[in-house]
Amino acid sequence: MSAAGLVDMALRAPLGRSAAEIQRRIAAGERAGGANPLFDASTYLTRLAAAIAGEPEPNKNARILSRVALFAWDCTLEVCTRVELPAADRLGIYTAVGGLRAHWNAFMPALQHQEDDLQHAWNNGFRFLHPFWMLQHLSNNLQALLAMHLNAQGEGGTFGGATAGAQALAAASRALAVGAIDTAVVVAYDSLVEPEALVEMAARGASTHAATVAEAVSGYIPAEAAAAAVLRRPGPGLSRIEVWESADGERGHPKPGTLIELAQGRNGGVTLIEGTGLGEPCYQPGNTLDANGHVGAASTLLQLAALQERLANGQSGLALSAAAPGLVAVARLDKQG
Amino acid sequence: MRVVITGIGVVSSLGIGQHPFWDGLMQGQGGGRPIQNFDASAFPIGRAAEVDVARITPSWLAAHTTLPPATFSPWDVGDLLDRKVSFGILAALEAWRQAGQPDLESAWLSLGVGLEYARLAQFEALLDPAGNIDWRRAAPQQLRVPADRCGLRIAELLSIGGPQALHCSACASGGIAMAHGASLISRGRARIVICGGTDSMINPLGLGGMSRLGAPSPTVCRPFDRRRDGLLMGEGAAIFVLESAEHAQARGVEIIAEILGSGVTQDAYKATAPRPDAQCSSQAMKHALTRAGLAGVDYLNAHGTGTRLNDPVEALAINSTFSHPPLVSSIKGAVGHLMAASGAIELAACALALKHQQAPGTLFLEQVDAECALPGLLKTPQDAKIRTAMSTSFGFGGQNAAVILGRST
Repeated sequence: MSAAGLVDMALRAPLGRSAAEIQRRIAAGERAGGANPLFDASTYLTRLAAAIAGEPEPNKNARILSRVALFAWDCTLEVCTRVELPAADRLGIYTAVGGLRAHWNAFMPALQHQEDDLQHAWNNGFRFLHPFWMLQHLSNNLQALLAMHLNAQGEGGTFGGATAGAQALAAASRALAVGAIDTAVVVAYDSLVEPEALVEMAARGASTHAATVAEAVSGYIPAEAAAAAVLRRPGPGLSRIEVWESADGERGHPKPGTLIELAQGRNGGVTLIEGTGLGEPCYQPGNTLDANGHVGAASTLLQLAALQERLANGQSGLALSAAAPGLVAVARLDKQG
Repeated sequence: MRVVITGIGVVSSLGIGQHPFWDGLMQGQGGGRPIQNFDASAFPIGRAAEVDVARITPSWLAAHTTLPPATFSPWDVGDLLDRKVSFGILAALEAWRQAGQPDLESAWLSLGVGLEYARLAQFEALLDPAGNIDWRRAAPQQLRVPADRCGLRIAELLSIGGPQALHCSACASGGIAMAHGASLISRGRARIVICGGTDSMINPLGLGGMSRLGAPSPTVCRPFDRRRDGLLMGEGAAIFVLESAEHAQARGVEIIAEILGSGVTQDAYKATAPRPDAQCSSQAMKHALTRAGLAGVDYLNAHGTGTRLNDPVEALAINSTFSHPPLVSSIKGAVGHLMAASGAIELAACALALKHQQAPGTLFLEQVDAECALPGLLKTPQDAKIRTAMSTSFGFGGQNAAVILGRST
């Protein structure tokens, strides 16, 4: 397995804009979530949501990047200003996105006057799509724009799906290990606080239908988050990260045994475990994903930031994630620094 | 660790399976036809390289997979509507069968896919007559077919028990998925990987979006031609079984080709246009050559989209990379641009070129643009001595991928 050295991280999450702030608020008993702050979801089955406070920084790319992608941009630039980056062809950008969603609001104008069977679809609305609608929804827009801004010409890519963060970390680690690049910037972001996502999660009972956070003991609170990590090959003073993945073919969440099997043999000397945050069977106090809400593809990086913050030098922790369809990932962090 | 190909599966507008795909290319056939899977009559572009099936049903899948229709009973309606899901499993099944049906319990899946499929009729059903959302109509709905779904169905059908990697780098996704799959084996992480790409944007949202962009040609796709005016939208899949050479030899299965090297770079220039000096696209090819231990290749399957921007930059990249020009062709005039699956299906063309010692031509290329002059550019298919072949993919966003295959030894 390829390991990587963690140089630095930055994040944006419902409970804060740094790992230290998040841990301080969790220790004070806070749990993110409340009435959906991003749009009126009062008539939805899933009414609770957890959003990043405030807005992203003003950005000329706002027409192309979603809200949470703009937060991902912000934390990537934040961490990259704190580290030394290599020559262009030795720097790789790896992005992890939760889904390649055709966003509701973007094509609603195309749907409002459609016929039941979508006959005459072009004249009834698709001709009203923005000319750049397609380009605005490319899954790798953030990777492309970050590469331009940071002049990153090395090996990289965009991964999709609920465990995309773990996939991106693993791919970056392998590229570093074989010397394809010298530095990897791994950026993960996701938002489940979108109308179509809320409708689907509620319909299959994955998200909580509770009216208040205190009542939400089953099912997760949909949330949004972004995180960025700078990685190099393992070395003195750098926390060591390793990632493993597996799948069990389940259509929904994986069987618990799948995660247990993956974690076995990788938990030697571990003193802290960041759990999956799925809210089943109940909320786990102190757990980063439970406290912030379910953040999909951003989960693994958010958990690693928490481990880096909470562990003392010489200690180790595991970050566990599980998502539909049947996907699991385990990340281990051995703290140094 | 050496990486070999033991199975190939292809679905394209030329037919279901690698044989109609290859035969069609060699016979100079084109897969462009009037769109039949939805009413595209009023769209600016009504033709595409569509797989010849209007509506995918469990019985259609059963007929083409020789599996019982009940196999597909658990599928959601959305899975059938999202055509790339079916194309992916057809191609995966063909590849797996050709490879001798290996046990895939520990296999990885590395898949390049495009946009999630939006079930527009379901969204539309949520609107009241005034065009406002009426949530009372939102009884269990599947509004999207997540991109994960294709990987799930492939893993379910073939009992793939290992991790999945889903690549979403636009038009370079398929090539990157192949490079990633090969690296998992060469870097010792896996012994067997199912990888490739599948995509279909031939639906109202995909066609509408591309039409608004002005990307498709109103006539035909003419890669490298001075009259080129856009791409031909295509759909389909190409899936491979990759193994370590030792694993394949131990199983006693035929090796079709070997993956000798790959390179992935990023233009870091513009999100919607390639770097005009072709430096980074050339670098991807050079990385692949270096890792393969080669100075050149005999045949190169170009990205060759038939757009004004891509083709001259790609020609510059090829001319600046190779001191001995390879034979070059683009198959996008024939099978269209398969978007996230393009790199994969074009690598399939490379593998079959190695197997048959023939090179496909560039359909509809008649007058080579001076800006796209390539010494080895082929208009028509021909016999050729091909020991090594490269496939290149250049995606929106500036991602570049190059993968090199060699004849099995």
